[in-house]
Amino acid sequence: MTRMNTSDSPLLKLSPRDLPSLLRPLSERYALYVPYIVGDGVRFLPFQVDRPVDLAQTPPSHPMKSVLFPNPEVLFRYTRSEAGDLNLIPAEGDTRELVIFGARSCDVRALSALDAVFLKRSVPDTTYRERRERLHIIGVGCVTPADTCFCDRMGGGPFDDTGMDIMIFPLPDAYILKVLTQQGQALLAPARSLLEEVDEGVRQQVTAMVTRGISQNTGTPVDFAALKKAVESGREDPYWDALADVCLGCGICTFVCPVCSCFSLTDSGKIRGGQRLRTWDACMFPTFTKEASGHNPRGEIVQRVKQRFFHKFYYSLENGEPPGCVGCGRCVAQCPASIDIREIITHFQGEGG
Amino acid sequence: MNVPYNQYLNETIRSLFERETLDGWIAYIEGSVPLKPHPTVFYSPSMVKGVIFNGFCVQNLAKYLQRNRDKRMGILVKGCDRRAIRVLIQEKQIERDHLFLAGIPCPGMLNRTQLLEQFPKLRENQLKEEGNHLIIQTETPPLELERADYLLPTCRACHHRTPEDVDILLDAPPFSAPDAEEDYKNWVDPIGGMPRDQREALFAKELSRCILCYACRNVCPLCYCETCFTDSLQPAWMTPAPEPENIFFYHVNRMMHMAGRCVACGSCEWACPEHIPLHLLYGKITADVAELFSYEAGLSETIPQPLSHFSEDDPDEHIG
Repeated sequence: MTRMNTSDSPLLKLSPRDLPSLLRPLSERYALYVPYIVGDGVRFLPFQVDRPVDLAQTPPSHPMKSVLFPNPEVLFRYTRSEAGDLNLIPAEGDTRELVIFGARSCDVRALSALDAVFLKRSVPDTTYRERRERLHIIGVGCVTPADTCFCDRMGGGPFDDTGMDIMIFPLPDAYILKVLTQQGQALLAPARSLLEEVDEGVRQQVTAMVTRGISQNTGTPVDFAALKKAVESGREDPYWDALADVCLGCGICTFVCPVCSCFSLTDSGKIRGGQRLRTWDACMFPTFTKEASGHNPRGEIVQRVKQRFFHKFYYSLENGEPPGCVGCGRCVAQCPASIDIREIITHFQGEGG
Repeated sequence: MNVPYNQYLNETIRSLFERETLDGWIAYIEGSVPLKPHPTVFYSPSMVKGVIFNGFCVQNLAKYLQRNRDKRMGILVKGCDRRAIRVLIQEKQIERDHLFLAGIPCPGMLNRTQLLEQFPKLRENQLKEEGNHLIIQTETPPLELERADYLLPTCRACHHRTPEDVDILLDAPPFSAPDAEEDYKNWVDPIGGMPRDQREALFAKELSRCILCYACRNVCPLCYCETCFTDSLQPAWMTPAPEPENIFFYHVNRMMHMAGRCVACGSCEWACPEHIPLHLLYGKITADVAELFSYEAGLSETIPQPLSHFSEDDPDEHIG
């Protein structure tokens, strides 16, 4: 991605009623994913004409990782003839370029952690790579972060545009677009007539909104090296037992996490044919580590609770990968037992970060 | 928040913990997320602090007894926690002698989602539960609502709010709701009366949001199987893919396993991140068991559960 020098790039104004006219042509050229209301949450799904996009829920209840790392994903199909000959058929993928519209800063920052797992280890994951290399992101700033948001403590911010091609600043009566890359420019080319350059007044409104957003800080930024050390020396801290006392061992926290990427492989089908599926797995499930012998190295809930946070704040860093948390707060908001990752950070590191 | 009542709870639990020489005590404390108290386990009387009780203490605490079965535990119980404990004793998962039950006359639990939808800025300290009313202090002037209008569906149909056969019945909290007028049949009849394809479409729509996180199963005080059928690999009954066939298979099977056991505490629906109206499924099975066997789960330890009991004079009407 070629990032432009954007300090003086023009801000472009789009009227909210013209949003469908921007998205529809995009959906004809790209595989376009947008945030839609499903139940009372929001998910990133393929664009449909006439279905209203939701840019209000902050953060969307489901992260956009499902676009790059779908659940389930067919990796290949197989058939077996009566003579026993096995025929492997590659999964038919969408070869178009991808656009995610309405992505949040936290989810975009999480891509660096997903890339570390799927691209930068000894064997790159081909299906992830195919999508990742064709991905363009139109992000949106977070005007009213949730009570559970803490991206600023994790090195991000509500208007952090790292990794985006276009950033949208949602003013009450208009979307203000800032083009960040040449790809971003290309995305907007067909919709140029819908956009107009903004005047100094609007520019100031945007600056004021960003300043206000940044000033709503939720605490001191976390010092990850210090946190890693504190977690390591707290391996036997009885605090873990107190968390495990109430943890229910469900998969909510990992499924709504934009960083969690553990998966399971399952063959489904009959002897004459079927498919190999990749599905999301959760380190909180006892089956995650259950071995064929029946032995389970993480059979106790406390071991699994510890694993989840050790992976995020210790093993990732130990492996030279980004920390496993971007501060989206979804796990905090959704955990039935109210296990709060912010409190865990504070426990090991103190308020000071 | 009701300070004097919570103070009474903390003092009472501390002294009971001491008097009964228990190993632990399970109660609710305030959480960091609005209107979502969470369970905790205290291991000594001096640890007991911050215990609260309000209309959001939905999660059934009996869940935590099986994993502490070797300890002598004190526990705060509402009507449905008490009923789940009876089922666990019936099924020989825990022993009554190991428990000290402090009953709380339950005022009926409130629908957090409904309240937050209506008053997004609502936090504990701006909500007063008083008598049969909720006072919303984020509004000017403060808005007074009927508590009964905000009860969870399961609590609207609960006729067993006050736990019976407990070791001590605590003072009732200073807030309540009129006794339930509804019954599970109220929800089930309209669904039962729907044409089959319409009913199927309703459940297909609601269940389509399921992500197979298993929070409903894991929060359930009566789901304690060491290996759930969902996790069985030989045979593998389903794949982990959150697709309709697996989602239906999971929910319908779990529902069948709950027949005659579900105590309608509503914890599953409360824990569901997608707010799937599970009370419709479990209300149906509860109403069916009531109609076919005149049985309500968790009211007696001695009357056997209809679906795990064989009697020689069973009329066997369903057989050939």
